[in-house]
Amino acid sequence: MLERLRADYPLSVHGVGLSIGGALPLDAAHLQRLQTVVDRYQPALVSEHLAWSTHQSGFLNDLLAMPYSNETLGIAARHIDQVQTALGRVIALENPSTYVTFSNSRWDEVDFIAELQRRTGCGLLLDVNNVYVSAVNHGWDAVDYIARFPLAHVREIHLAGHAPAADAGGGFLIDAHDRAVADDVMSLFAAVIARTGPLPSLIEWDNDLPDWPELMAEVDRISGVLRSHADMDGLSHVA
Amino acid sequence: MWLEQSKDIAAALADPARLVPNGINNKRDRFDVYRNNVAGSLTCALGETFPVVKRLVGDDFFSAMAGVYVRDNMPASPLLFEYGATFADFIDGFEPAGELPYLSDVARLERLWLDAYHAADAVPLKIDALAAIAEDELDDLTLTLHPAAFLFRSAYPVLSIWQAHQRADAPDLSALSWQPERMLIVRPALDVALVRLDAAAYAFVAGLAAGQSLGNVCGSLVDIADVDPPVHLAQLFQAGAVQALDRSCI
Repeated sequence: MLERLRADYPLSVHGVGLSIGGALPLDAAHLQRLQTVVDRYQPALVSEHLAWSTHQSGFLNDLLAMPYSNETLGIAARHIDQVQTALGRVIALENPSTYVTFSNSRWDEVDFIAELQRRTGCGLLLDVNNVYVSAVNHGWDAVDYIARFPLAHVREIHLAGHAPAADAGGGFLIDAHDRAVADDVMSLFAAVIARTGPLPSLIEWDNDLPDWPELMAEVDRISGVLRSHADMDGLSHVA
Repeated sequence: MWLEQSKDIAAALADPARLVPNGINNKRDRFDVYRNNVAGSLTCALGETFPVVKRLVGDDFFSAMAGVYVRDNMPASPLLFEYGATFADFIDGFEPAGELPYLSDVARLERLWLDAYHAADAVPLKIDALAAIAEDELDDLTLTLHPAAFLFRSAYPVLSIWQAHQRADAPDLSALSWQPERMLIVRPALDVALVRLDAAAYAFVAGLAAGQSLGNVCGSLVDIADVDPPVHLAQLFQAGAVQALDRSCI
């Protein structure tokens, strides 16, 4: 089926299991499997997350937050290099949504990602909802985050709905992928596209899927933003 | 240092009784989001691999049972469709499920269903291939099962139980005959099929699957009632469960 789709459309292969930010060496077998997929389907883009998911105890099946230190910068850069060398192509790295921060972090998240990009030459995948969720959860300024993000290297945009939650520490947001994209996130998205021009944009809605008309209405909202900047020549308009 | 720190985090994720590791700016219980994600997503993955087991015991019981399994059996691989290879054995030892002695075999069947689903593709051999075999070569013939073909037998009617749970409405198990059942799980093309085998057909196919020659299998089954090799062979080919014939031992 993928071969049939590939004949008519470019594919974007999005990984969740490589554990780029993990302290352990990359899972060689998993990287080999990814290489097989990439060789077979020749996707337009391959992406992974700035997160970790694997430890000696096993695969934890979540995109876990990591401290932003010189040590983890070196580890993540080495892993991105390794993947890019194995695949013979540049991959795009996605900014995470996080619920905790680390007292041993020495880097701001945007600076950390920009430095990783500089060291490895990787592309970036900007998840605008992740920016918003992390900003609310940690008291960051989402507009400032986007303003400082190295947009010239963004190859793909992700959007999703988030769920409000509360615990003893107060209110926060969960990156739930279970509803329409929030208006604030749409505004951020429009601001990004106004600077970058149209980019491949994906709505991640993988829980509590609505009926088709509601899903298509969401696609129309995104398409409207992309169309309104269709005259822009892609990334050349990035400030 | 990140190695040690992430080791502490991994341990705390797997065990809610552990304190949140040092170094994490945990706004009260915020680390629990990750604990819930890890346990919840793996429990959910097991529910998707074992949907009939889940329906048989109900959502709450399943979540509790899967939660115990997840805590002690983190996935070894990021390929979640492989997760739960030992779930059936775990169910055998899970006392609260003891009232349903067939539950673990339903889990084994569901595991095999998913194994067949993800096994390598291959074009099944058509029965016409037998026509190319001379009659005097038939005794020494061996065959290779399709890579997505598996045999299973249970002391319980798990195929009937599984089939009764494929519709959305409440299954009626009252008419079930509590006899052992044998089956072939096979995916010749896109869809997994479950083929019921009688005792004779199962013994016949199991012999061939073990690499015995046609002659040896027939010889070893002479005392079993209802053995009918041409019928069993036809059923095996019809199901798309044969990949190759081999005359090399001649």
